[in-house]
Amino acid sequence: MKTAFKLSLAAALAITLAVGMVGCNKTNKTQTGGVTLRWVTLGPGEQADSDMVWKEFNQKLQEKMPGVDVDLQVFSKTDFEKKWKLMSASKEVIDIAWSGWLVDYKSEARKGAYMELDELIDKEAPKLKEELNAIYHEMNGSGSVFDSTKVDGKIYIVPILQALVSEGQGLITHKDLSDRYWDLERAQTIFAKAETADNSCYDIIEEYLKNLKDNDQIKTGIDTVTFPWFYQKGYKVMPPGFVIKNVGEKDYKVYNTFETAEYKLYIEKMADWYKKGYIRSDVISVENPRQNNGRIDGNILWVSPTYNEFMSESETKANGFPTAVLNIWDKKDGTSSYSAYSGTSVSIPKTSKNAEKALRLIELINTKEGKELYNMLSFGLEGVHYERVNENRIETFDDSVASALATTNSKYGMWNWVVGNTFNTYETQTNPEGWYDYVRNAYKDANKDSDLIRGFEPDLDTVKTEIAQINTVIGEFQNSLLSGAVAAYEESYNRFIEKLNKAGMEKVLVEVQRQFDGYLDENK
Amino acid sequence: MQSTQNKLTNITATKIKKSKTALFAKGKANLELLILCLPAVLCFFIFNYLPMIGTIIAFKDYHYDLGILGSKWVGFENFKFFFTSQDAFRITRNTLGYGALFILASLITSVLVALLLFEIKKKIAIKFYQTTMILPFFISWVIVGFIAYSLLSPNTGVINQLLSLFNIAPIGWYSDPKYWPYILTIAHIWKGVGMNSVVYYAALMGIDHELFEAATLDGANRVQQTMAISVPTLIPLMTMLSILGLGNIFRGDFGLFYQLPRDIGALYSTTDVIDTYLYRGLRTGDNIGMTAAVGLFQSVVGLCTVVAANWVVKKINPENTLY
Amino acid sequence: MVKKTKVTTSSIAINAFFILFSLSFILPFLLIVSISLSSEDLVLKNGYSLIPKSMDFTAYKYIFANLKQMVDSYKITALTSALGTVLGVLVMSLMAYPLSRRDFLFRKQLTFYIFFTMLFSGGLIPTYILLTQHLKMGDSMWVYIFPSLVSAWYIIILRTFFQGLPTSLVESAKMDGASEIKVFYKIILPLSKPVIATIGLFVLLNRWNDWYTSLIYIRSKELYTLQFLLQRILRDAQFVKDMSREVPVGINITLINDSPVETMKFAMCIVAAGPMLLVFPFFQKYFTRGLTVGAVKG
Repeated sequence: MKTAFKLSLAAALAITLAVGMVGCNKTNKTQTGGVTLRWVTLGPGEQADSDMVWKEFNQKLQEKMPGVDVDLQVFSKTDFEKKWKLMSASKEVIDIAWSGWLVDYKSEARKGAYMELDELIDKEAPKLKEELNAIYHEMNGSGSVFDSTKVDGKIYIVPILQALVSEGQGLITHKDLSDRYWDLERAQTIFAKAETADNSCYDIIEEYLKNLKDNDQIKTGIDTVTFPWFYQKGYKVMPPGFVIKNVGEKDYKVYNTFETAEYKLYIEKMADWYKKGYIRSDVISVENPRQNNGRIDGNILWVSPTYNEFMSESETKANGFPTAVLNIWDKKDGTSSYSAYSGTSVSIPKTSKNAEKALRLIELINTKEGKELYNMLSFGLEGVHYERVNENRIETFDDSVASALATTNSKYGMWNWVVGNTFNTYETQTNPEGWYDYVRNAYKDANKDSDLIRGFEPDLDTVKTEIAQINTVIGEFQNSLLSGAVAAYEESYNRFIEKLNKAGMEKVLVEVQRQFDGYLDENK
Repeated sequence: MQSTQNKLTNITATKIKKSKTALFAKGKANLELLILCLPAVLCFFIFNYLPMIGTIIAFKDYHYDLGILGSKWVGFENFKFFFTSQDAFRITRNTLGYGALFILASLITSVLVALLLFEIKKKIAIKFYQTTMILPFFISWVIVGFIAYSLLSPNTGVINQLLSLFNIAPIGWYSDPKYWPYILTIAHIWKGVGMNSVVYYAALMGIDHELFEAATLDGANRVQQTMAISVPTLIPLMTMLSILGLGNIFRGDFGLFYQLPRDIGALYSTTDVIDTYLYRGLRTGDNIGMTAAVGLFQSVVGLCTVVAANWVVKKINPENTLY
Repeated sequence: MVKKTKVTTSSIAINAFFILFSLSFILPFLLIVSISLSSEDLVLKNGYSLIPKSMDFTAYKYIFANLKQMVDSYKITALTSALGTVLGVLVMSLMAYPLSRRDFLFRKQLTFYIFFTMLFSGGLIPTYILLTQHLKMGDSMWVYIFPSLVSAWYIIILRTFFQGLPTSLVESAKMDGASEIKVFYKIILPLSKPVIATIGLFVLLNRWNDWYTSLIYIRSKELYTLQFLLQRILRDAQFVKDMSREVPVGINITLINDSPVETMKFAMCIVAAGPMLLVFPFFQKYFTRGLTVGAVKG
């Protein structure tokens, strides 16, 4: 009887599986009889040598923290946000959790995911505070590294400082094209002089585009995905639709991005350029116009959100053909370190039972004391995964590991900007000599207020319905307006503003300005 | 020889015994049937009903540390996002419109295809056609979006190129919303007809072919046979699937509505549905409560629709009701 | 006696219709195969074409780079799909039969009971908490099988089919003293081969395609299903590509992984669909007319 056969087959399978499952149990982490700290972080996922390196790490850790074991759980970018939210909701015991940009840490903090760290830091990790602030002061002059990432006045995360500096935004194009059809120097001067993206900026670019078109070199046109960053010149941008502008000595105002003169000018120009053929005609439906950046017969003009002196070099190397990069922003105004950002950070979830030890581990990884441990996690073991060049410099056997782009197919490599303070990382073959000194110097002449503004994180909980509705409106109009492909753009733009106001833009604007004024008062 | 009275008592006694046995048999049958249901009932209870307690998230300001039960009650606050939206009418209209359209279109095409397939005699042909029909099932909407794009792309798309051969101006498929109800319906049918028709085909397989032989002897032609035998066999299934489909009328297939129109704002008037609207608004920030609220609303509407549909069917043919 | 198939105008018409119909499915599929075999650079440059300009297996090479992982995933997916399907179909038809009996006392209530679950659900978080905290199914094979074992939709379809079977059969069997379960095995099942095969097919295909369960509940890579693995490979490759242009981590960013992201999307389709297309003919065997009622009567 067929069904009887089916039944017994099912039963047999079930039994085999049950037996197999018992063998497959994953709870054999060696206990040294002490404490196990669970660390959930972002990364390329499990790699071939993960277990080997982590075992070594735990052994070395005994020197500083005897009896403590670390159990690392690495999730990839695709999984992290979902897995984190679920672990939080099910109150899983976690001791350290990465709380960087994939997770809205302010929202998570307000929902009770993280522990307050103010007292804990002062009591258990004063060295951490000291060292991080020392670096922070080099970059920003004064203040506390934790202040700019506080939520409702309390500390919930430890920012992971990044030894990066950006000196503005970069306008990128093919070098040979710009040599032939553009006056780079003049363009650069105009950009430097203009305070915001005004007509002079567009005019000089249009000269270039016209020349390209006349000589049949327009290729796939300008990249309308990144080019919009151009209109942000002179403003500090905050999602989901506000910008802050310096309107006087230490005086700032919050604007609705979409009602600024610069935005209006931008879409006007785009519509014009679309008609003139500087933008590809199928821009609206093509899947990802941005992927044509950096291809020799792809987009001829695009924007990078950061700029530094070495950029032409690095872009050329990355693209495989000579690339020119201009700085759109004023160096002084554009320079910022990534230190005070919450782009990458760690937190101690409320469910942790070993907060003191967790904080001590965070301290180790982010300060000079634990430099070796930190780099072991990032790069692996000497001789096995990398070769040492000098005290501060190594050469990894796998190039992708060196540029912190390791994948699950690499033997071993975690992303150092996720693990800990990159001011303590070893230089690799992808850093030019003296990179970290360059970073520290570059910031000396910058406008320090930039970071103050950037540190402002409004609490939008009371207007979250409005924000959600505003998001739907932005999603509806943004792409088409910015691409210039809408013929009747004025009409479309007016509808856009109308719908934004209906969704409650005014109310949110008032609220954000109010919070911002309060923030400034607190931090003056 | 028994007296009449004894005979009567005997008859009554046997009758009582019979009804007692009958009752007992009926009870035993029901018990056995109930036992057969147990595994499934248990599964539903554990995996579907227990988590349903969590639906109250829709009414709460969810905090991780307070948990589902401990978080603050905020009443209908989370529902405001949807109900006060200026687009509420548009997305509701689109969702309901497409929902109804899809149920009808799916029904007609799947049944037609099943009936036609039933007419084919060569086994190899049947197997071949069926295998090709289920191919779309394995193709995700992302890929279907690509395929659609290669057909509809304004410059290089196959259709526009064909049109230019006949000297017709190219059509801006991705900039004009009026074509999309057709495009989306065709895509929906294309993706689902293979698998859906298999269900109807299986039903046709179960028809006793003596019925057809008898009908042929009576002189009925194929079409008459189909109408008299095949179609009535399918009616219960058609009714059932339609009622079930109505339950989800307030939910759209997110993949279809998001991938095909490529999230182009100009097309929203005919392509924006509740699920895409949700996605757009709640992508960032604190959205657990609001998502739960809209989901709950969708479920409640679905329930009302099904109850209404079932009531209507009851009036027509009580045999085919859902419950 | 072999019946001669008559070639009539109607049969030609119907076959012609189906050939065109099938083309509408085959052509896109061929396009997918073609793109999966194309070189990434050419695709980005020229768009998609039906015949690849050159045969380029890069996408497949990339996907199969970690062969051991791929084999593990195939194994797990095959195992959990097969087991889940067999168990699921069994449990579901066991319930569909009582529901099809009009004299079953609880027919109405139980139907509503299961149907309600089609509309209402607790949502991701409550389900997650239940499965991982209370039932301890997280990161194990069981989470693939049990939570999705039963579905009201299939039960109701099965019920509809069982309802169509002649009640006289059941009655006569009962009068002979058969228990309900015997009726189920000896009468209902044999007559329902097509529908059981259909539901089995649906269940199997849906399990095969599932990647969501892995995303939510699985941490150990030995337990990843095939579809999830493929999704991950694709999204990680995309991430690296995006990242090297977005977040500047260091200065000299060389595109180490010139991963064939576009062509990979299509290759993944083929890799996932392949095995199932091979399995399908096995099910087609059952799409034939079942035992006649007469045969069972004896």
